Amino acid sequence: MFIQVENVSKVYQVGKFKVNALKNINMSLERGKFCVILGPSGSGKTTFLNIIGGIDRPDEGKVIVDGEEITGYDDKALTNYRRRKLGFVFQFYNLVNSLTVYENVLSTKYLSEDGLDPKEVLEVVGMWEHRDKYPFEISGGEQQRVAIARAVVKNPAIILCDEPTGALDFENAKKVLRLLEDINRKYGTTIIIATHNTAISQMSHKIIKLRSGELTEFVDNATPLSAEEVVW
Amino acid sequence: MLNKIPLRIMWRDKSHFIGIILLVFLASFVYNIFSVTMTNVDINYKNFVEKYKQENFHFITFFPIDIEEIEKKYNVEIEEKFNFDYNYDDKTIRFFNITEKVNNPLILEGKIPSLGEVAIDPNFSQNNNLKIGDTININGIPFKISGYVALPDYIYITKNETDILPDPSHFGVGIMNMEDMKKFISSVAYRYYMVRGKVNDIDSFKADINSKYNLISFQEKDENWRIIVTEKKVESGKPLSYVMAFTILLISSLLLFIVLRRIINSMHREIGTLYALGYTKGEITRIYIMFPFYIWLFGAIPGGILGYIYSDSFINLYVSFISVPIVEKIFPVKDLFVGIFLPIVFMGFSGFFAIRDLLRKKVVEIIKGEAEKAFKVKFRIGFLDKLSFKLRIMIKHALLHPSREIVIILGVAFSALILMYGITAGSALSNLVYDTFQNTFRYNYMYVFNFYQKDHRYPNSERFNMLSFYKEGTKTRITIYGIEKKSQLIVLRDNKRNRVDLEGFVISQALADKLNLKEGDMLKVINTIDGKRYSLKISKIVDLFVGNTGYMNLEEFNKTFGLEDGAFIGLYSIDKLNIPEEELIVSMSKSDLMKAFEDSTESVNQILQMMYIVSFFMAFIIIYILSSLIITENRKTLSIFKILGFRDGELSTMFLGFNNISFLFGFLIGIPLYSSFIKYIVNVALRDLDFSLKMYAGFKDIWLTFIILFGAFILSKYLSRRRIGKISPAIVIKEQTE
Repeated sequence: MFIQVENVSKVYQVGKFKVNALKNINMSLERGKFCVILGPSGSGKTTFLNIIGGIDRPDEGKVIVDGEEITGYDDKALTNYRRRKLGFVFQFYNLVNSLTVYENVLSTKYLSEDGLDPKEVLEVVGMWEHRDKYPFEISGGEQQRVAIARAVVKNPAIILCDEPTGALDFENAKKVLRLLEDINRKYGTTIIIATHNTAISQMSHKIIKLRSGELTEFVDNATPLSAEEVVW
Repeated sequence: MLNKIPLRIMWRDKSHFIGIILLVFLASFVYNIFSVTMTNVDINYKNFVEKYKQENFHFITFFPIDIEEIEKKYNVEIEEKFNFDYNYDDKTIRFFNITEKVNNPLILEGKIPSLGEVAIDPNFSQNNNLKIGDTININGIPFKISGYVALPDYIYITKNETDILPDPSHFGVGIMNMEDMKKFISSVAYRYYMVRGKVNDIDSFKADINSKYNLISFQEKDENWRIIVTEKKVESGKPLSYVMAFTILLISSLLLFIVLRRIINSMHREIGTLYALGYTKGEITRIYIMFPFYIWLFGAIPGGILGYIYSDSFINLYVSFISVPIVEKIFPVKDLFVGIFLPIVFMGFSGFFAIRDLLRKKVVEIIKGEAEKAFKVKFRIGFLDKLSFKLRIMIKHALLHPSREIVIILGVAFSALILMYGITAGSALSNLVYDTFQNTFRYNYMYVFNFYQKDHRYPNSERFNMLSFYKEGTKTRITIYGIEKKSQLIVLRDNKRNRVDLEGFVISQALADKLNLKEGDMLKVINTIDGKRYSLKISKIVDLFVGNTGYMNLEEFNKTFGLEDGAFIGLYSIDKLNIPEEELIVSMSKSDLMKAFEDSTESVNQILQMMYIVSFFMAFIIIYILSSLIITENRKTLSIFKILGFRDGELSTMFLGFNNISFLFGFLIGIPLYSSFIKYIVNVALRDLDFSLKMYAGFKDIWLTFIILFGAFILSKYLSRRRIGKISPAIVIKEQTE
């Protein structure tokens, strides 16, 4: 298995209270799959994504990615792991405002020895013409396309997306989903999307459903729809 | 309620504000410690010399003068002074009789000596553990120490007039009654008279004295090293303290401006909302102007007060060099006012300008925050595209906030200046002494007779002659020596270190610097005793930095100045000569001078260490504040980069890397800045003294300065990098989900 999650739990201390963000999660995912984590706000989606992404550590259990147990890594090793294997897409894009579109993409290309051509990737996401603009000069949908280009350009094995369409209107959201689908197909990148939008799960190979930190369903979707067909 | 904002933000961003507060503290502290010391020394000195009737001049004759007659004729007060040197172990106490008309002794503690008692100067007493009530045996006769004394003509207590530094461990002065003194002086070799009062025509006064009593030497107060050093030191200390305090204040206010502006910009939404709710510009300004007020309160006030308190020990350190009796500590209201209130002016302006720009905008613009639009236009710079990613980000960040880099450059340049000044002042003084007294003046003993000699009775010694002159039209005193043509004990060299043949008239570099003279120039001089005028052509300038002196070979000297062939007034020797005391005016041992210097280096080292600490601390604070400011405002971006997989080192290079260039640039600017500053200081401080400090920063000095400042730089970088390390990549995620 490309990604294997075994008995992962995570507890947060909020004031005097303990919040079980994740409770004994088990799942696995093959390389090149398109996976959606579904759940309402506070269900543990982001925490789960962060643990797979090496941004956070579980209190219990282990996560193995491409044969490496990342839960045993120190900060330095986790940085290396993110550097080699991962791309991130966030709900609010998180582009670096002091860098142009092109420079934002270049920032991750720099991290990879076998990255893709930034020009090619920006053309794929339809942002090459806007390459010299700063993030605050383009729309939210365009910013998210740049964020995807930034994640893709280093040719990572996995792209983690946290509510990638959450801040976008329907048209722009569809464009973003189409893009992620294309990338999954063209580059064989494993894509994991955390979202509360159930419609998006129709285009995935695997669906993970979380509620209050517990995995309630883990299902295979034998007949995923194309992004074009997804509506909500 | 809103008044709580500034203190809370200062607490939140304490790493920035503590640094600024410390700098303001340092500025007030430095200003007050210096100005209070200078004012105290200055006023006490002036009171002392006035009240205790400091001389206007003194002179030495071969025959005793008729005091009453001369006093009447010139309407002055004259008093004869007697002295004898009591030598024991390697120490000397020079005792004088108690005078009543001129240069009267001030008893600092204890009482004026009665018969069988002496009073001595407090610095010597302290260094030799002599207390009031102790008994000392002077040549076998016991004397009780009745008190501590200060003398108006021995403010800078040097054994010889030519000594550069006092040596309180080995040399001191004291007083005793004339009756007691007679036990030690059976006959006198010369007569020493001190004069108080103004003589309009000094030249005719000298001619008058010379014709009747054979004038041996004459010295006005302005030429008396033991008197004028104090005035010069105070004069030179002031600009140094002003420059230091003002520059630290300027740098701190620039820092405050930068920090405050960032805080205000980051709070644009809150400020805009307050504005929208109906707060006036004045009310909002009043809230934010509290930042400079608190900085002043926590920095300048304690700094100023501590500066005043610590000025006591600084005054003590200071008067251990120049022996000004601090009769009463002056509370210099003006200095304290400036030291404490000047920072609020700097800080206030800085705070006002930081908020003014924002409040000029419309409410909607303030709420939106306009900062980024401006930078979009500025920084689309084509050439950056050709650089590597890391480099272009680094340059972009620097160009985005050029004022920060300018403050680093200024701060480092200023730190380098202080540090280099400290290092080179120390080494210049040691070079001056060692180079002069080991390489040039190779004699161990120098003797000056009270009358011209003809027979060279002492083998293993070299003859010399000397006369004292003024440069025509000035008060600059020049001593010209006639020495043996192939002298082994005075080895004069040119600036290429080649030995100079003693043909014609050569002068010291110190004199050349002072009078702006070069080889081939004519120097017009007037004999201080007989007023005769001479024009001397300068054939060479020799690499000698002590003394307004000129040299000729003895034959040429005697011929030029109309002295008998073969006449000489003194001897240089390697070994001690047995010359009867009554034949001598001066006998000097070079080892005394070297000892004095070695003792004084300890105090100099303490001052140097303080300078190292101040400059290290300043460079460190400035770089650290600005680095942590960059980190704080880029917290989110750093977090994004961390998620993307950037390492701490890479982020440090990208965001703080330009500091390396600014640091280096600042350091390089510091070198020429130092040279101009030194010229200014040397001109102010040493223009009336008869030595030049060869102060220039050699490779070793520059290297040492660099190492120390680089240490501060590395430390601040290390701490900044740790701060980057502490930024969690999860910040972005958390802020996004909030």
